[in-house]
Amino acid sequence: MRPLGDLIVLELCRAGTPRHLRLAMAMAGRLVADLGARLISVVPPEGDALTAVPPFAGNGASTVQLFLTMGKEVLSSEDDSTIDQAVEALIALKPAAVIVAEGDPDLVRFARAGIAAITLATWPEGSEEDRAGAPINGFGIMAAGGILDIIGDPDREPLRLGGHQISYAAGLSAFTALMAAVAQRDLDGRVLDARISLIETAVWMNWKAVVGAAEGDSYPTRRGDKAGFPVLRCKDGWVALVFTPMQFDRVRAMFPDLPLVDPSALPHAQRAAALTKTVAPWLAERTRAEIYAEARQHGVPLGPVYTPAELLDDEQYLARDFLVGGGSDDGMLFPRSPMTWNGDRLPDRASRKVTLADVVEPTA
Amino acid sequence: MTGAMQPLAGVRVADFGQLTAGANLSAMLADLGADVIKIESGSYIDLFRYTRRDCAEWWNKSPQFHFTNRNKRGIAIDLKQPAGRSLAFELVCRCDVLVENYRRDVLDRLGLGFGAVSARNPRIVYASVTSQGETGPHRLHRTYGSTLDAMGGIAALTGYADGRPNITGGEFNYPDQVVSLLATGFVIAALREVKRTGKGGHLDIAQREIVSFLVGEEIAAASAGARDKASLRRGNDDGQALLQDCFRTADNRWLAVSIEDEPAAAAARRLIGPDGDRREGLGKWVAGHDMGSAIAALRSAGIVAWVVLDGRDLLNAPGLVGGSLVHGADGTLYKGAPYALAGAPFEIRRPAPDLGGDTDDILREILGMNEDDIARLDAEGVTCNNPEKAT
Repeated sequence: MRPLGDLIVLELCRAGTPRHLRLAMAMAGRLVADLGARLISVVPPEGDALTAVPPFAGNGASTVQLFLTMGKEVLSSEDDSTIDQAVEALIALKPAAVIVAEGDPDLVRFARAGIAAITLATWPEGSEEDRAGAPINGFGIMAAGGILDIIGDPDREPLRLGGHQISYAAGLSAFTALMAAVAQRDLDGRVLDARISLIETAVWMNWKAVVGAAEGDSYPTRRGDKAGFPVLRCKDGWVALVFTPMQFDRVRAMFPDLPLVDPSALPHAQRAAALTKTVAPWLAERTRAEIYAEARQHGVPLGPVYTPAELLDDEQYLARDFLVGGGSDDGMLFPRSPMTWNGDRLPDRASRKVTLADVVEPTA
Repeated sequence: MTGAMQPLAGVRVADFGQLTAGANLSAMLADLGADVIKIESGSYIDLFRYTRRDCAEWWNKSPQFHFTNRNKRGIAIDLKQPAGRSLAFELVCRCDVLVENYRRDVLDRLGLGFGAVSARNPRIVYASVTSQGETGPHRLHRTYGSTLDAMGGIAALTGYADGRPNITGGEFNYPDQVVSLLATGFVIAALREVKRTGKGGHLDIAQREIVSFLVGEEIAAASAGARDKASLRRGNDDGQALLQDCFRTADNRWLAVSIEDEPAAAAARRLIGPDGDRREGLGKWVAGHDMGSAIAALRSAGIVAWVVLDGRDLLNAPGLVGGSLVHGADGTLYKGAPYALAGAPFEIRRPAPDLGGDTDDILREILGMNEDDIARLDAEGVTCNNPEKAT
């Protein structure tokens, strides 16, 4: 499958692009490159902000940058005049779309050239907060977008999601918006620009809190283990004890010797505590593998907690060929695009550094 | 979505999607102009329809269902009956896309699996939003979003430094949200592949893989030996900011503060004192200020400071939520779009369908049935649209 094989897409990183926007741009670009587009990532003279984002491999390279650059042609500009020349030359290649951050100085040029602009922004268009210009980053966005309020224990400080989730989620939105732009171009040749703000993405994902608030006083907020599915210790780690009251018969079959109380007979806030008290000793004596095997046998949607390191040896991921080397001989592994088409993974493509001459007159 | 720009105009989707991951993917296709037909029945309804049971026709009143099924049409077909399965098969054979997020073997058993459908409709994009994939030893394990939090790697990275892993739970369900964001783009890509090759196919979108994809750099770091278990959960520390956490203000609000670099740290020391860039000193200072004054002082010093908003705050902040929430013509609140396209406001073209609300129209228009056929199907319960009367 190579549905974008006929397209060129630009990813234009500028000096001073906020890190949370740069991460979103790079995620969108990675997905587009995976689908076969010729993705040209233009990096400013100051370098790519991604190179400073942890974690780092032993050689000091950012694994964020390595992961998000896969499949791309990376064009580094030596100075500001070079980047301007590069933009001019790249426009001449008639790219279908360009992924940029808000305020990009070349948006008018792209519009004149009929190139769809996929613009990443922090705030909704015209928001007062944007105009006020207060400093913000990914953590602040999680606060203002209501995500922090949802995660953690009720009597402790709100928690962020691990990794770079708000930027990555916006990157997924940008990817889908770009695909919509391509579809519109195919349909009638019109240019469909898109604007994706990280705040709106956060609120959009957190819709249950908003609809709950619209319905009454008992709306979602962080309740820790009282939220319904406790995360409990077992012999070699943790398991998330996930099931619905309708699946209680399965749970009872999984724990035949335990005096379980039907959760539907309890107030919602007491269910997790009652369950925890009963099953915690049973779990503590068993490994995740043993517990997961029991859950699979009985159809209980329980989940062992796996670390990223453990995913490297995950039986399912190995069977599905989900992880791949990055094109060098350093032994590092990265996730492939999380889909298959007729059972096949998308073709792997390594990242490569290019010059403007390479881009304008490709040799290979 | 503007009426003028509908990139998926002319695309017809058979929607077996449930809850968020599947149904919201189809809603996003509908937002982009596709004709999405939600297929349910009185005997099997979208689980979101159960969220409100305190009124007549409760199955048509769920706000959660309305949020995730706007802009679709709805047909009621009882898949438990042979006649219903035949009807559904004829319908999906006239669609460009099928979306489903059932357990792996369910549609196969109903005769609606990829093999059967593609034999009759070789250009179909058969989009399966699977738990762990169509293949592999764990393909049949049941999961919810929280299961995927745990098994995909995010839970291990989320939590207090001294505490357990955190899942996002049913009230947020982060995996389902990101799955629908990404899967929509994959379906559009697959439609383009069909145009390019003339051949349809089975699009297997594995939700657990999506979760792991979103911690890809951590998997890579682990493969390079650069991560150990001890460093996995660090509260609100992201490894970049010098100090980042939430602190309680004097008026009992949580304030998210991030001191990103040395200039910000110096500013915090000037504002607060020698320990202004340390957790204890900053926390004590915030506790002595109300939210408004703390934010004003910290921001004027160039420090990231934002109040932690909750659902009610967001509901009352239309300028903040932008197009992510919208009101329909009748005032009903809907989920909007995660992007603004062509500078146009998001448009609710039609509310979420009542259960089977468009059955007759769809049978006439797409399957060419006459009034007698339609009446017979109704009399036989094949198109029953009342869960309280379904067998």
